[in-house]
Amino acid sequence: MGQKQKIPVGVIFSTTGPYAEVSEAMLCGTLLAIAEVNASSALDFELVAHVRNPAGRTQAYEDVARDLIINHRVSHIVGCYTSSSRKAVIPVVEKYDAILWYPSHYEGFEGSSNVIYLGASPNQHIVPLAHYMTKNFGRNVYLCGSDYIWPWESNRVMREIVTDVQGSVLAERYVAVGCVDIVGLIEEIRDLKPDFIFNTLIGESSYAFLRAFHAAGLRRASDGREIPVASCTLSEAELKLIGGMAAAGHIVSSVYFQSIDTERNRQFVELFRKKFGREKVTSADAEACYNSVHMLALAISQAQSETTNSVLDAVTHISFDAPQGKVLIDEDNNHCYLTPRIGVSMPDASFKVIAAAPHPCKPDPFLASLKSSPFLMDEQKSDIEAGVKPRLRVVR
Amino acid sequence: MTSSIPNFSNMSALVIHRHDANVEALVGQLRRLNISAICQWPPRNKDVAATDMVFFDTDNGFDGMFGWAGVPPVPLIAMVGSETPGRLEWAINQKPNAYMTKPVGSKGVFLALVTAFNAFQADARLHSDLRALEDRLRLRPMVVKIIFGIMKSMNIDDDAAFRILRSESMQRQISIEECCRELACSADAQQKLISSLRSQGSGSM
Repeated sequence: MGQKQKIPVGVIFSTTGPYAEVSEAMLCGTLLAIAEVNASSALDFELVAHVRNPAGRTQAYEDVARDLIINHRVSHIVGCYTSSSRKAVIPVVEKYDAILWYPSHYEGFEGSSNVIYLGASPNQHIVPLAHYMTKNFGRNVYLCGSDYIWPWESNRVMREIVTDVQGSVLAERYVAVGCVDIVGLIEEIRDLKPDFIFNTLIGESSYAFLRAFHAAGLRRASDGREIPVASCTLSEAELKLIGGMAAAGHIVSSVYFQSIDTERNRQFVELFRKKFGREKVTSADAEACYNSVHMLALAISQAQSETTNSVLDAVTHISFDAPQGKVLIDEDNNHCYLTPRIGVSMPDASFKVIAAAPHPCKPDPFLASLKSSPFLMDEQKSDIEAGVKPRLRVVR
Repeated sequence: MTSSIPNFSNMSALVIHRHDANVEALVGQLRRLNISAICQWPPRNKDVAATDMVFFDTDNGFDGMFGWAGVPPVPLIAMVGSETPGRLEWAINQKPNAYMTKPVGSKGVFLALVTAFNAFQADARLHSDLRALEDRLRLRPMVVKIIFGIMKSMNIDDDAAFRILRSESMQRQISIEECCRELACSADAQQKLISSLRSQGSGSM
């Protein structure tokens, strides 16, 4: 048997710098999938990872991407987490006609022909969450977030949906990224008594908020239960960092949870831990990275070529049995069909899935059909386990 | 700039944007047009008196980053990266005269400049016309009052009174409204007009 063809793949994650923790998990998801592809007897090629760490500096992403393409003959790059880093790489892949496999959820309103978007579009996380919360907990929401584009745009969508159901936004507050002075938020929530809180704070701000919120023990006026906190970003790894009961009872929308109870996911989690350490946890972003590499390999195999055009053609004709379920690329917009889920955090730093879409949901990065298609999910029994009882209300 | 070749030579630009490849590309293009540029981030020099145009980042911009409120005092050009609704709404609220998309390349800078300066001048004309019209509208009650006065003093109908007023304002080369204000300010002037018309023996022209 001849030697397998070696195909170089750029891998760009900031494993040091301000979002190192998330990037580390993303790198692990990528490397696990590359190892699986290379071990597969069904594929006649191997992927050779060229791993780069721009350390969170936006300009460095551009330089690294250009170097990978020009000096290492890379046509495919898996990487980027923040929107600013993605926006830095896009001009480079467009100029040299390469492909960026972008494996993170983001705020949408973008569509490059040289990017395959593997993470959730806004209609796959924030929209389902907004519908779930307004349906089950009430229509008066308190919005708090970190002061940058992701929270601004997420709150915009939440506001639109809440307003559509005749609810109201009691307040919309932002604190600087990294700021942990959140006493004012807690006091305002005590005063305003919202039905639920939509939390788009990130990192230390979010942990400080959730700890202080738990300590304050704020209750809903309607039923005396704890005010639920909803989010699109809280991950398994972060629950560990927050610690104890302050991390429990929060409602999160995500296309992937480590606790998804399928044989396929259990196998993924086991392989992940075996390769990177028993204490490691998988996450939506890590899964999206894993899916990116497998989709790339399937597309190369289908096309019998790694060139940009062949892979772009092939990628919309394949699907992958991912840890979250079947995923495929929408030929209309290069984004991914994914399965929205709602989970509630448990005291053991895991999520229990309490609602899920019945099938993978078409991505809608520009929210073009926000008003035209009602979002339906199968809600599972466990509202009581979520710690909050759904309130009955009259629908006008 | 409607009929001549647009020329920005020796002008200066303020670029309110974090220094990156976009700013480098922009400053390079401006240099070819003989425009000197000062880059600034975070925004600090709020005085734009010495600047002929301002470029600004819509991705990281925030309320109050400019030293003016309302209509910009110089042509304003938005540098748009993220096309999310929130950012676009913020950008539009700054009332830019032109938009350019990032990444900034070899195309688009000149287009944005020509568009911005034309739109800025057109806006300025429009605002000046609007202010003139608003002034005239404010004087309407005074016009009515003067017309009634002439009708009464000379015992003529409103059309005849209006014709007198129009003729008087044409002679003075001012608007009817302005003419009425002058007449209203001076009882003497009003009296003089009416007596002169009476002496001509007719109120009608």
